Amino acid sequence: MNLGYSMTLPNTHELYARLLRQFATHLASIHALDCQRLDVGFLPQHAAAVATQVRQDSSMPSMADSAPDEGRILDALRSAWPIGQQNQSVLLHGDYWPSNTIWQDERLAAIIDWEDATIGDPLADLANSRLEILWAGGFDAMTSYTQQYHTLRPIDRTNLPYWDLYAALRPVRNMAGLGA
Amino acid sequence: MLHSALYGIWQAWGLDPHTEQALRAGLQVFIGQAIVKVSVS
Repeated sequence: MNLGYSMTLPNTHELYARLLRQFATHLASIHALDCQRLDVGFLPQHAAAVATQVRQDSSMPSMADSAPDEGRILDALRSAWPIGQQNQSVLLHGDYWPSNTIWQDERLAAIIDWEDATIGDPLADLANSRLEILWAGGFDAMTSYTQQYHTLRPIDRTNLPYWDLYAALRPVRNMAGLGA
Repeated sequence: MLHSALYGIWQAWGLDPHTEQALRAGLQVFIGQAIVKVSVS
């Protein structure tokens, strides 16, 4: 099926599994790039932006009534922040999901939309993409994707649940805006 | 429509297009699992 500007994607679950593997492999490849050798010093530090966002709303009234999930997430993040970083900082894409990939002949040919790129904990990208894969293929797909990434990049995942929560913030806010 | 682009991707991948309700349900479980994990850590 052609989606217009960018891609022709496979149409079976077997191919979907192969696609997922490529999706994990390319994220691991991005994270394997040597930031010291790349000219990416101009990119912002992801942790600073996250800390600002986590703290930013702390003076606001409780959102328990209007957006209970947002309140739960922020409470959990604030209770633990800063969570520290066990992994070496890497180049983060910042918005790694299927719509930001270009496919050709069932191969991932390009990754686009780098405007959210930062330097930071690879768990941030992993968590974002985990949620997207969950939505796209369910929990088994998300678990498989996470394991495939981890096989390629055996990073410390202790803080992954916190990054999962952070990744969930934006869609929670979007959904709250749409009404329950 | 929430994440309308995703619907197109899922359909192109041969998956059932998700409803917004399914998105919400998935997100709820995703959050719940993470909350449990950070609570016991």
